[in-house]
Amino acid sequence: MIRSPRPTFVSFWPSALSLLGLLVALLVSSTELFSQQIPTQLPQLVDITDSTGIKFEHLSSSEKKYIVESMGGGVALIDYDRDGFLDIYFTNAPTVDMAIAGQKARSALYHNNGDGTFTDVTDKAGVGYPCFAMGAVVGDYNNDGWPDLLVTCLGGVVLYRNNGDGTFTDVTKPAGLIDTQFATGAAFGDYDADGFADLFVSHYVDFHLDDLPKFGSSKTCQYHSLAVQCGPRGLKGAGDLLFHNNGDGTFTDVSKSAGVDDPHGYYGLGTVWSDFNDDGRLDLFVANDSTPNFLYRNDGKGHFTDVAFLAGVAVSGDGSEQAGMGIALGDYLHTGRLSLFITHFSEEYAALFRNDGGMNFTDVSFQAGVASPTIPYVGWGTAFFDFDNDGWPDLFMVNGHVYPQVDTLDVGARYREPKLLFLNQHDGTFRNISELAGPAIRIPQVSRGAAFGDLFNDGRIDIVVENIDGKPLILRNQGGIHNHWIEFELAGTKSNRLALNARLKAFAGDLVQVDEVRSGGSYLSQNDLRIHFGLASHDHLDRVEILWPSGKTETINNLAADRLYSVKEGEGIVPREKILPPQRRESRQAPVSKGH
Amino acid sequence: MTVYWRPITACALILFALLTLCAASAPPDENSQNIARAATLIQAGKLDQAEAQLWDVLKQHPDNASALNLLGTIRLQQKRYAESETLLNRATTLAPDFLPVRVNLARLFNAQGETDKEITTLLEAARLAPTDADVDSALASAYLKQNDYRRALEALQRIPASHRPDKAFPLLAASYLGLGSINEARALVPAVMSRAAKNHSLLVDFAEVLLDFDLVPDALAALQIAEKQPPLTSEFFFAMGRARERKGELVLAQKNYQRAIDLNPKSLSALQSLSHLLAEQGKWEKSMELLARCRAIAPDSPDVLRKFAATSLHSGHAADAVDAAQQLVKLRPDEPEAVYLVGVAQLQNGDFEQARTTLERYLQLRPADPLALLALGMDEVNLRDFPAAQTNFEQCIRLDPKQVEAYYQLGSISKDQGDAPAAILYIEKAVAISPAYARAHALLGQLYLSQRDYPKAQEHLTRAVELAPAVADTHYQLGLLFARLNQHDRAQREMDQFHKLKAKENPGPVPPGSKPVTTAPPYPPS
Repeated sequence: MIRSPRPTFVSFWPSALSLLGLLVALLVSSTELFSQQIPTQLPQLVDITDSTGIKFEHLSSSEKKYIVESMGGGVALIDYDRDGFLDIYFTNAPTVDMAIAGQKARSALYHNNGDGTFTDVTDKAGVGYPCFAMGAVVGDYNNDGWPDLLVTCLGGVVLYRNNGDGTFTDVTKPAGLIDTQFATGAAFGDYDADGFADLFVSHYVDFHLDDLPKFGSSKTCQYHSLAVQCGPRGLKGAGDLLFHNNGDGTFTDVSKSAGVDDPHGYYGLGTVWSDFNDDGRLDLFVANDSTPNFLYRNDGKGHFTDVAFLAGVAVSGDGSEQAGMGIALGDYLHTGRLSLFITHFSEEYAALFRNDGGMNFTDVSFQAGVASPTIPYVGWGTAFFDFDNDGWPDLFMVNGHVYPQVDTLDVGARYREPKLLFLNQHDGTFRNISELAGPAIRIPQVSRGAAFGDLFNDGRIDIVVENIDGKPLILRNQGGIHNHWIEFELAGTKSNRLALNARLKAFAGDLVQVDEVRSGGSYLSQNDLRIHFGLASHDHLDRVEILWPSGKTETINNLAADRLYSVKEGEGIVPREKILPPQRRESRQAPVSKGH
Repeated sequence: MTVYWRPITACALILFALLTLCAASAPPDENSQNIARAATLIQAGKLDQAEAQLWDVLKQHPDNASALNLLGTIRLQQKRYAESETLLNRATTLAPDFLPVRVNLARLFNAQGETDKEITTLLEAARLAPTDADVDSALASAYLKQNDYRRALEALQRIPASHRPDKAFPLLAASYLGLGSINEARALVPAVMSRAAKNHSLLVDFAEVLLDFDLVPDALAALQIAEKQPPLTSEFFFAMGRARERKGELVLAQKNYQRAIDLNPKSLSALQSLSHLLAEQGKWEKSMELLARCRAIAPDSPDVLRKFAATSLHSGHAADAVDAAQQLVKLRPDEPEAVYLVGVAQLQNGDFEQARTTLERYLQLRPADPLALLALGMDEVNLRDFPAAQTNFEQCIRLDPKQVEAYYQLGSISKDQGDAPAAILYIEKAVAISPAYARAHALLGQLYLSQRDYPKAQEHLTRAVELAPAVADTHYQLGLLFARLNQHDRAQREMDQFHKLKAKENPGPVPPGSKPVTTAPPYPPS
């Protein structure tokens, strides 16, 4: 570039004024423009891990020679003691070598002390050694008001019944949850609306410790000609399981009759229940790795039909199978319909499927601005959450490669990867603001599970990230402009106790938002079961409409913002004590309650 | 037009050199005897023994021009060109009027494809031997390589008709035909026929020239006469193959080329021609096998390397293409097309950063090459440098407003950037230029579908399927469209077709992170 000679001061002065004026004008206009796109004060996601007292670390092998060593890392938020503060359960798994030697890895339950610190209560709770754990989800299978924990494992599942006294009991066998496969994603949902939450478990590959695939041995065990762990392609897949809750503490495997058993053995990962077509029946979405996703439409008679292809969510918009990992569900457009966001492998984009109604979805990933930034990364846990409480769901995802060996390649990929945060622009697009929410999320890590919830009951959604190598990351959402918010904790009566899949529609002025209570989602993880709405500048909610799983609709009017409300089905807003179960101090052999 | 001057020239020069070896014999002393023995050994192909003889002479007489000359020819046959040139230049300095040295130098320049130097040297030889028919023939042949038909004819017309060697006739024909004098060329036929009785290859060489100038019926007539004069050589079958190919009789052409190869497995011409024929039929793997044989025979042949690289690209052997193209650049560092070929091969092989460097280098040599701009743009798309890619595609269009692929790529970029309306505009331009561009119709359909313009989506997706019914993804889009239109039966049929075609595309598991499909880049400019 040729620079013109610097003018002398005298001749420069008049033009400088006009130039300065022009520059100022431009600055003002660009600031205004900027303020439309990005609020001038954003909250920050601050790493508070060290201050929490959480010492957990996921075990890992440095080489990750086997796929099972790369796929775990789910994390669950569960208020196990119903004290109103979210506790955290981290899953853990040994390495394959350790497992063969009979060694175990300790998962961990941390009690939220309510003061920013957490205490390891794993041993007391009895949940430290469920299995070779992959993920965890929460449901109340026996409707006793105490949230139970379901852990997915290499070799099946473990159902921990919450005894209500700070302890859990492994009731997997008595409950009839017979599963010997490589379980990954899971979700509780009452698909037949009988008031008891059923359970779906997805499975990945047919993997056995006594018959291990050989590292780097074939085309599907190579990445850019580098020897890596085998799979999933090239490995036999595993079918999925649907367990119907019999209402008496037991389950029945109805996978085949329900049509969700996945006879082709797709590589199932994230899974979530929701009513995608607003017909009052709970449908099921399963993200399958490297194979088409499932969208099972509930036909209403205990049977499902996979309509993923016709709905436009089986593969990407241009017909390519992708590596479906984690799932986020959210009404990012304020249409009242929940759209899907699915995380993927690197050199693919994370896909945003806009829900157009009538069981039709459109891949709008590029249009929405979320495709390009995600292409370099391998994405896992994710959620729509209102980062800044402006009433519009934003999007967050955690990343981390599967092959440690990738660091030796010159393909641009790295094993440790940063996280991504997208701010909803209110017009169907998102803006990548990863650089603007604090340094913590830019630190490259090998992340897997991510659970979103209000850890400190301050109306901000925080994030717990489980890293598969090393310690987790607890991100506290703080700072920024103070926007109003409101939260709801629901309790079903005719509906399942935790009100899973109750749908809320919140009205505040022209702000209309929809969300639902959900088990599972993200990547093998569990978010806060309470529903949170950001309200921007609205200091109250005009009304909230609740569609309970039982089919009943309730409307509650005029609620002050910046509070957590407890809602009991049929009774509206109630004191919190009224949705809590009676405190148990007796032994672990508490009877299974048949009613509530 | 392929001009087969080199074999004629090489034969002429070798023959001439050998004759002058004998003609220029030294006085009957021991040195002369050694030199004469060496010459005989060279003729017999016993180069090591010949060299030993010559060193015996040079040890005592290091300035013996004859010995230096012969040693220079040995080095030439060994393809040690630099040493050959040094020896022959030394001989020339010592004996400036020694004709054989000039001729051998011309041979050397011929072998290296340095036609200008070959001509200069032959002119010097002609000055030394103004009535030498072989020198004039060789000079004409060199001029023909440069398509300088007038000078070629002048050189040949210096040879009296009565002294005209057989090899001069094809050269004359080429000169006449190059100047558009078809009748004069045809007038040579009787003389060629009469000499062909003793020189079987003359008719074949003559026919080759006729083929070079598209006088296919004349060439065929000549070859059919030659066919009656056994033994039939590899060169005959090759020429016949060419004639049949020109007539469109591809099966016969293939048979003749194969016969030529059977008789001479090292016939580069026949191997390359058959390879080309197979490539045109889409039989890329077989084509590549033949070119691989050519490469083994002539590893440093730029022509072979060029064809090998291009065929490798077409048959999906991108790494082989890179290797061949890089070797070509080493041999032809100043040849822009060679640089372009490397760039395109690197692009196809997924070496995007290297491809970028190479294509930028090419564009410095040829800044107005729209195909190269297109290739560079496609490379930058793979590098996700969309602004740079956009710039190059736009520049490509400025130079070649009908470059449909550039419009398509710009549309793709717009789509990737989330700007569907802009993408539609670009792709509409692409289909306006090329209404049968299936891929563009498919993308346009997908874009209209995303914009919920269902009639237009249907129009373009339907057209795409008509043009390319075996593309799975188009059926997928149609399935989505019909689902939107609540035509569920049609939707399901399209999805079923999608699944069927997809299963054919991917019969087995693919490795993780398989490279994204790169649109096949444009091939080297012709």
